Amino acid sequence: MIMPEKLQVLSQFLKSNPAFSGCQKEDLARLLANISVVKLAPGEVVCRSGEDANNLYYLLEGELQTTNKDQIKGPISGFFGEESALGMRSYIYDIEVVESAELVVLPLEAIVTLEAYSSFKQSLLDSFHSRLAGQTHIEVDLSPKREVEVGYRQIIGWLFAIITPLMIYWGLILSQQPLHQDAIYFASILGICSVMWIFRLLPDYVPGLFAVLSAVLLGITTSESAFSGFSSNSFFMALSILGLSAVIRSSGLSYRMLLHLLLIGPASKIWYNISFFSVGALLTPVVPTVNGRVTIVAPFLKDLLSGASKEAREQEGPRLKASLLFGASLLSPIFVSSKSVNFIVLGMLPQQVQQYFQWLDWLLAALVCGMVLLALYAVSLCWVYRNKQSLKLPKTTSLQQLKTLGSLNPAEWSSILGLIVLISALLFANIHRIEVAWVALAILFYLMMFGFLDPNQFRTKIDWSFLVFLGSLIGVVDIIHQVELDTWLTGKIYWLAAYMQQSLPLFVVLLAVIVSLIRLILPINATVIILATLLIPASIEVGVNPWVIGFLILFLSESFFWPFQASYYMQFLSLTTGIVSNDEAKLMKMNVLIYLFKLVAVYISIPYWQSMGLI
Amino acid sequence: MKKLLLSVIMLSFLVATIGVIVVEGASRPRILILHSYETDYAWTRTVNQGIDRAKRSHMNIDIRYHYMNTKNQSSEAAKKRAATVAKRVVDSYQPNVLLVIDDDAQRLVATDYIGNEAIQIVFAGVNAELEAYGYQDADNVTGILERKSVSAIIEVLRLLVESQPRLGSLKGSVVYLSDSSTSAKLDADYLARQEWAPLDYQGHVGVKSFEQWKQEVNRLNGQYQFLLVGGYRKLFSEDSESFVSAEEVAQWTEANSTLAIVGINAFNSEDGVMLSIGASPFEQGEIAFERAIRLVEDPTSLSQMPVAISKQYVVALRHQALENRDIRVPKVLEAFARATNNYFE
Repeated sequence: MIMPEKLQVLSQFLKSNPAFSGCQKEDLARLLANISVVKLAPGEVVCRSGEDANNLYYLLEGELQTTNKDQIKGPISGFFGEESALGMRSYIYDIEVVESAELVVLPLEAIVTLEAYSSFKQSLLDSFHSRLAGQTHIEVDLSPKREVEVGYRQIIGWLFAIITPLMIYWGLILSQQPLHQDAIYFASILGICSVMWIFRLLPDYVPGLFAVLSAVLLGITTSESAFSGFSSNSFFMALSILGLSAVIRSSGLSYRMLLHLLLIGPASKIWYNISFFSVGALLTPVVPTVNGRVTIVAPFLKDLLSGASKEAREQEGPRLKASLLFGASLLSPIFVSSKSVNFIVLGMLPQQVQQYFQWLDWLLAALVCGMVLLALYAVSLCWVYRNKQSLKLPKTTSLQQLKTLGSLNPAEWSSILGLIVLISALLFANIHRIEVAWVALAILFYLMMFGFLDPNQFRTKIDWSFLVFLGSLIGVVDIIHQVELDTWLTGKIYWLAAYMQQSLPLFVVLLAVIVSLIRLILPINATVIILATLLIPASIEVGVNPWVIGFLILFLSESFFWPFQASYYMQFLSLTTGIVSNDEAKLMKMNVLIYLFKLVAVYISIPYWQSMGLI
Repeated sequence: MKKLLLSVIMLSFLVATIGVIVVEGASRPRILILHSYETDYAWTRTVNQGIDRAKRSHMNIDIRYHYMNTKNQSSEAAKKRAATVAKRVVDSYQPNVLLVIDDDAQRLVATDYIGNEAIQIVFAGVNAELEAYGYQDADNVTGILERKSVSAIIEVLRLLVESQPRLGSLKGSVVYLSDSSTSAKLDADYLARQEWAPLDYQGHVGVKSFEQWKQEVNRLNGQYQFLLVGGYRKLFSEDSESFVSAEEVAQWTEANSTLAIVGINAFNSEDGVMLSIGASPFEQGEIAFERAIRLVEDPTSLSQMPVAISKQYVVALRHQALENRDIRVPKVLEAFARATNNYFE
């Protein structure tokens, strides 16, 4: 039994040692019961080279030294016996007590749980590495861990989070708005959520969860209704596509696809750009986040340009970079499954519109917009990035790379099969009569059944935070409808809704201006959610199909003029740094052009939507 | 070898499961319930309650609802847009039975599927004659017509009159005031053909605007015993751009008419009318859905289902309006209205 004073020493050791600073307190508390303090007399040997490495040690007091014949003798400090925790079978040092010493002994089985903490492992690696390098006395960094700085934005944000709901509540009460008490409460809750999103106080999904939870706790709605989003078709469709996308990403199918694309076309810069754009575009319907697609395609830039001349990299590189970026992002609103926020808008539509605009019908309705935008984009890319530099890369490299990849692996086969089943389900929905969401879920089941998506990938590769965001937001929309906040909001913005009915072209311009302004302060998701919450009910009121309005919001919000406006662009920049220089001016020109082209695409689509009876 | 065997067995399991699901899914019958209006309309909600009454557990039928919302968007262009979308829904869903409720959906959508062998049509809530939609000779159409029950109106009015402190008898003249919508005109034509004795039906007055409505209500005061109202949702406001809300019309009429007002739809009392007697929306939904299920189970049974006419009616009461007129309501009527959720305080 360990004496209380020894336990206190051990507890202090675990609390103060920087190696344990990243570990959870619960793990440290458990560890405390399994470690001990020993006192050793001069001349005693702690460990010997070649012995089984079963313990990790830490010197509290006294003096130790290494005594290996072929190594430098010297004093020991801090941790030693790191071999045990680093997975080595035996010690490589002899360590002997010089003056009576007090050591903490950490048995291997006790520290197994700590191996999951990278900070702990890194501390031991640093210590071991220093000793190998001949530095026997290891200086332990005892400086206090740098705390995360709190910015004024957060302080102001949280103050607003307190003040805003009070202002909304009293504002609505005093102005005697024709709203039920529940609606006033929920408007206040939505005020808090908006502040949290605008100031980015918490991850996106937390305010969504806060809204539905508060509504249940305040008795505004039932739990079944508040959490209905978690059992909706959109939720399971998103879950399934995320699962399939995880397998596609990990299988390497996308890289093989690029190599095949490079091989089938001529060795010219036009074809390289088409290939780069196509890879991103082909991934668009099956990888439901732009960030995810950017992560997959960004390394291709280095792969292709590593064999190119410096001049070619400088002149043609920026265009190839743009092709990769726009390939992964430009067509996001065209496919319902290409972006998380598309699912959210789908979930906001009335039930019968949701049923109608499942995957294929969404694509059909957005097709003209997509085609026009694609054509105009191609022209502008050629014009903005025009140069006379030729770029020809030998096809033998791509061929050899394909040979190195070998034949399709089972994970790639499973991805292809999953895609074929998904596309067939979409095309032949009238024959099998099963909703696409359930077909997608069946594909996910198949991937898990055959182990292509193992439990670890299921936990880590699926974006659960997004799914919580999606589920809670669908619930939020449901509550807005229940408390009739949407009807009231529609009345407030009737002037804008009237344009929807009387002159859609004018409404599009107004919406484009509003979106551009809001996007200066809000991220894409928050912009879409706020505008969709306001305008979708209004569109129902004035008799314009709510899909058209939802699509317009998505289409116009999916743009950026400054890098900070799009997280995926920032990510793309960090992934391609040093490969090709950034040409911000040209990219800005492209973004402005694309925004204008989007308006053109919408105007050309209006007669098409009229023929479909949507407007 | 074992690994390959396991994979083959697992794959067989998967293929068999998918096969069963696809075959079952492909053979699962579908009913598309196509409403002319939206669920913000009490009639639509109550028809759906009638449909729910006829639903059985384990029907194994795929049922989908589509609302055309033509009550709120009543311009012909908006109706055509709603019809285009509804037809696309029908075409993509390919239902075995298309259950169509109220006149707009019949005229705008269902008529396109007359004679379509793959789709059978069951209609409900139809005010017009069968000839209006070409249903009289169609071999894939059946359903239930919505007809105002004049005998029920007389029966209820007799009960009401006789329960007043001074025992009276039912007599006097009746006039029908409505907007100029098609369904109101169809109702007027039907009412004119019915036997009204001992009452005296004096015909129909149709108006276009709320202003005209007010003038007519004032003019009719003192000339008749009872004022029938039904369709007043399409009365233009003074700016001639929007319709006046049904509640506003009903409540103004109650406040300014000296005649006893009788609604010919149950939801008129929800708007504010003191008493209403209307065809039962429950019956419309229930009968139509029962027929739809029979057609799903036995498509050849259509020939055994002649067009039905509504038999049931519901009574709705507006407590405050009755009190304002100092009218006593027989307990049985109040109980009936309360039991069907048509008693409005």
